[in-house]
Amino acid sequence: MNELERFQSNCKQGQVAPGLWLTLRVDLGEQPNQTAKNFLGVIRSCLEAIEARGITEEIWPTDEQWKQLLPSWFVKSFEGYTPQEIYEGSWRWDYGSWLDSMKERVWHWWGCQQNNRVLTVQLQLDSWPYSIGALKYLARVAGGQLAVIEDRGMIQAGSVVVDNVYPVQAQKPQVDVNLAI
Amino acid sequence: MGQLNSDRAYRVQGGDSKERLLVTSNGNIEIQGKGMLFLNFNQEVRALEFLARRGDHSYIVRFAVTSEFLGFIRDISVDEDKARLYPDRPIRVDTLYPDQFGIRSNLFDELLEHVIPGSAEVIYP
Repeated sequence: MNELERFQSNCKQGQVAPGLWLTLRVDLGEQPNQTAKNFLGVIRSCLEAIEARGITEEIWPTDEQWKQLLPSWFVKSFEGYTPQEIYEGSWRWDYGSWLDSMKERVWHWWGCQQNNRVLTVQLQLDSWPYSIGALKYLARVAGGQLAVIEDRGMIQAGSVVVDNVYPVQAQKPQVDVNLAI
Repeated sequence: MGQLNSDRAYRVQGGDSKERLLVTSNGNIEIQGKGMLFLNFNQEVRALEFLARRGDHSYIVRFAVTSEFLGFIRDISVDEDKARLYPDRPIRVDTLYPDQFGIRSNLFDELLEHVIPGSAEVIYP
């Protein structure tokens, strides 16, 4: 079963991926169903493009082609911000950098489970360290926030004693400069 | 190991995942593939924590590099949210912890040149 099939069937929900794994918990905010729909819609678009179209790194779509493959609301989330604004520490991403991060991703979708305001996502990893910054951005613009990353066991005296879970650093609140005094 | 002015690099791989680093019989490394290579430097406890609950087929590759190389990577690395603007530079990832980078293939030769010969080893759970 490939990644797209796992996503579509979600037959692995609640299961930890074999090998290297990562669990994300996304706080879905005030409109959890809509946020989950937004979040999963972008994932679906990416996986469909990558797997169903047989896209490899050698024939990766252009930035313009991706605009046709991704939900329009998501593409628009990158618009209106200068490179300088992105450079100065905003949580915003440059559109091309987000696509590159997806191209170079070392995670694969394993399954997900929604419980009220929390979407738990299981990923299979190619390696540690890893990068999930693109998913953090996606969670934010979808209407939620990546709240917790769980990726390891805690070692004490050579044995695992408890799952080690750590919260994601609080992100800077968005400031509307037009309203700033 | 044991040399001054060196740092340790770590990568957990294996299991069902890609094995991008191969450790040769004489303790050197070979890099498989051209995609971005994610490495951690000097965070052994974190590497062991990550490995702790993985299957028997996952393992850590550890090797030493010159401190000059790590300093170089630190100096030129950029945040991933603007990585497109600096297409040849390494990216900083998982910034809750220091010195975790995605290294692009244009720097693979430089990385290999700065590996301390004979320092590479595999650590199993």
